[in-house]
Amino acid sequence: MKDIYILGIESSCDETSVSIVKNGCVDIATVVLSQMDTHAEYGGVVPEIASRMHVENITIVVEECLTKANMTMDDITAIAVTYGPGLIGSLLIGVVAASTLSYIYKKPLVPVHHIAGHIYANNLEKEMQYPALALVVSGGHTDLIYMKEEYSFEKIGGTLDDAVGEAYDKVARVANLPYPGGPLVDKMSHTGEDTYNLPLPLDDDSYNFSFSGLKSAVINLVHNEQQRGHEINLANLTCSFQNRVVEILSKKTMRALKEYKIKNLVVAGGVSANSGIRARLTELCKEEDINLSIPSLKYCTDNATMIAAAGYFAYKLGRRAEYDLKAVASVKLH
Amino acid sequence: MKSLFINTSSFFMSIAILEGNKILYKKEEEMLVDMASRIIPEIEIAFNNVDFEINDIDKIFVVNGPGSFTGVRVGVTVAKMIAWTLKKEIVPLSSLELLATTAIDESNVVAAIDARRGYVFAGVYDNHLNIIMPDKYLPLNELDDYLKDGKIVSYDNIDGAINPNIDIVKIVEKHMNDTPVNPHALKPNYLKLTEAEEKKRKLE
Repeated sequence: MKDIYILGIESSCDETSVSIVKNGCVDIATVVLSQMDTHAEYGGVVPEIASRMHVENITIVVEECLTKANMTMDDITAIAVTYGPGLIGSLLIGVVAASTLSYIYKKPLVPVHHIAGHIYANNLEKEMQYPALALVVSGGHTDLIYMKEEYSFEKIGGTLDDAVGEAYDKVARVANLPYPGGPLVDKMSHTGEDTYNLPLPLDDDSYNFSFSGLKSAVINLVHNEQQRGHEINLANLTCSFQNRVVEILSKKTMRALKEYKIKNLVVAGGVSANSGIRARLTELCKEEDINLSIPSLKYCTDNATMIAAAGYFAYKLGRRAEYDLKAVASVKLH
Repeated sequence: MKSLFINTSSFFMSIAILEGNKILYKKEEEMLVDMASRIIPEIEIAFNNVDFEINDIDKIFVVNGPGSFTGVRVGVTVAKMIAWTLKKEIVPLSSLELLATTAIDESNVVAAIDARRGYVFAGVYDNHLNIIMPDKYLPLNELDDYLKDGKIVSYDNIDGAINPNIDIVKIVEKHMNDTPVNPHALKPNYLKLTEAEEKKRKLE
């Protein structure tokens, strides 16, 4: 069979990224231009600044990727682009750039959902097996997605309020850690002990999650202790917080694995870089003899490699967009 | 010399294909939403109406601001992408100078775009598109000095403004021999920092 080369473009938040992936599994070349340092000065992503930087960088990143791959647009089979969800002004730049290339070179344009990208980041390291279950954990998502077969997505549960990454960032703020604080909470948690009696959030029969209660419990605890003049042990607090998060995530995930007779657990999204989650799921999957895929750290954050990988499967299924492809801030995974 | 002209800086999108100073195709359309998803289909329609391909053009003229931030970004992204990948020359144009191509009786055109909160993006040009006052972000009342010999031209609801009647040929002729810019380096000309940057600057 002829090799399929997908050029992927990702610009949904604060990373301008372009990648070429062969047959949905081989990363030929990837370029990621992160704006993280700029946004760090503002304590979070500023959408207008992000859009401005994407415009400045887009052609440079595409060129660099082609140069790195030693390829031209003529070698590309199709162009995959993140059309949503994400920051609308940021998404637009990638979508418009992809439509332009698609029109000029008469290459198929393949729309890719950002989360499908995160899930298929796993296929870059090990071919995914089905039925699979994806645990998507990021700053915007905490979802359990059942995948009966290739590129089919059925959400069986999700967060009812804050995403897990959001809860981490808020706890980081209470702990006075700099942006982006999630990874620092993770790091700090290993230096402490689970001494604070925090609640296990939404421990019910559903596959849904809720982190606002846990987050509020942390905030209230810090305030109360401060009012009493007690010093907070941040290492112990972050450890207690992380333990609750890991406990509920792994508990519901393991239950779903059994109920749906899953062959492959796939962890995806920025928070899959969290060491507590990685360690616990690795341990549990080993016990239950379930194939576990967690992307290596470089594929956990936003990148176009995962979009090109997912784009390959979408392309094979015949998913196509016209030149009038719309970027959408919020859209269901399908 | 074949060229493509792109303006998405306001709700009034214009796309044109020219040969020298002759317009072969032109479309001007009010577009309140979805400029981003309409731009490539409109460019495709444009080239379906002439007997050559996008690869046959020599130059792209793109309006890079000031104006709608998103609109400007859409046009600039498309233009720089085409220019970079097909190795075409690219020449940025001012949206205010484009407004100033409107023919009026007075000697100067005070081209203005409402920037809200009493501010405008404005530039003053004479009838030959020479710059009298460079494009700026300024309070509306600071334009008064220029109104003795000029008239405000604007799409927006500004007191005393007349409606633009833009002349693409006039601006293209004026800039036909401009030195092209490197597509990688082409940026929108917002004339205004983001609010986050303004706030930060005040604090510093």
